[in-house]
Amino acid sequence: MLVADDNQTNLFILGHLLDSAGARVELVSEAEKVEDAALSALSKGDSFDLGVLDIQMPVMSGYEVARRFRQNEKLRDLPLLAFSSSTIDGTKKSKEAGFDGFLLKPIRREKLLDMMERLLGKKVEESSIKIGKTTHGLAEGRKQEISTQLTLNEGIKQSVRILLVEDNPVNQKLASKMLTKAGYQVEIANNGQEAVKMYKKSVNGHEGKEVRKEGLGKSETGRYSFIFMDMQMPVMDGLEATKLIRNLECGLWNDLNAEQSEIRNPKSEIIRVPIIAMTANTMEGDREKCLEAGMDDYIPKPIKREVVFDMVEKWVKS
Amino acid sequence: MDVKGLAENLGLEEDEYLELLELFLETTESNLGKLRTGIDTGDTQEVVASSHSIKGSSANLGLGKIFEVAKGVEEKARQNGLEGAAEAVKFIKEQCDQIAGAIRVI
Repeated sequence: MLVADDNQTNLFILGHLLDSAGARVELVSEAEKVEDAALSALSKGDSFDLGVLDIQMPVMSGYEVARRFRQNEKLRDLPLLAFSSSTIDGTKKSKEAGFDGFLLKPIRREKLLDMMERLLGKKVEESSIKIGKTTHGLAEGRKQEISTQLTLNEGIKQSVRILLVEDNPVNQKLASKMLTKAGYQVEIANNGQEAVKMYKKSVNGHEGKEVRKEGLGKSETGRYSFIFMDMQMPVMDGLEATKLIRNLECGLWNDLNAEQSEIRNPKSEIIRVPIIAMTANTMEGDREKCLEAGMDDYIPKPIKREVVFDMVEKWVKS
Repeated sequence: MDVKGLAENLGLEEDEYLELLELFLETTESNLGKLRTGIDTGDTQEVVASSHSIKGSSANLGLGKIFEVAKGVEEKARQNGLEGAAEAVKFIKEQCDQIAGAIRVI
């Protein structure tokens, strides 16, 4: 492994960390010498498997080094990981420069090793567009994707629980396939009534404090991160179910206030699950009806993968 | 039928899409049954419900012809009309048979 950082202390720590993980490491403290080091190793028949580059280096930035690698036929395919202390546009710039991964400093040992493993195994793992690989990957379609901290946080992804309310068995299966393939947990309600029941169950048994700690989108204790709700369903339709869920939440909200518990963020959506309507009705006014009933957003049917994933990302992040 | 293309559109593997198609054929069979009963008894609500279901799943699976026809039946039935519904049932049935024929030789 090739590690470049102008800060000797950082370089030493990183080198030591990788060394202890069993990697053979070459340390370079001057950016302008990185390419030579890589070429020289290559000519000795002992090429590097991975390059870890600090971004903020004098004389030549990590971006510049990466660009040079990508323009060099011999070094084009070497996986590169960007290591930066600045969040501003880091992922985007790193991606543009040709990095395969991006991490913010400081980083925990396990995270770093996870990322390295990921990059080293990258050629094997030819996954399709997934949430978590940053929005750039999504927006720009098939362009090469860059792994970030988000990608690593598979744990977060797996703890995203989605309640899918849909009566049509084909659509049920399709939507749940899409979502589970992307790594999310999906539970299915066959109509509005089932949805309300399931939602009630998910919030009961969780005391206010516990729920507050969880936060949205990181639920591990059974609360739904959000709900995809079909509109037209037998037994109980989407609008009615949404109204009932909102009423239920009002009740919870009042209970919390009554307890006089300290609520740090009164506007928090913690007891307001995002509900996203899935609707084929494109008639004027339908959208308003959804929002009036207390829904937060909607996607048109037939469902499209990109739209669904954009929506998931939007609401998981908020 | 371009199973590969249709599957790709949904980000699914071919065999996953085929699995959905099988499910579609199965549920549509039962929906067509309800549709026929609804037409025979003049129960437009039943017609709306079953054509709505066919419409929704065919749309998601990219089965345009079935979608269009089911949509037509649903819209009419919402206005209490059942003209053309029986022909539509026949058409959808034929389409399903074609799909069944196609996917079972793949």
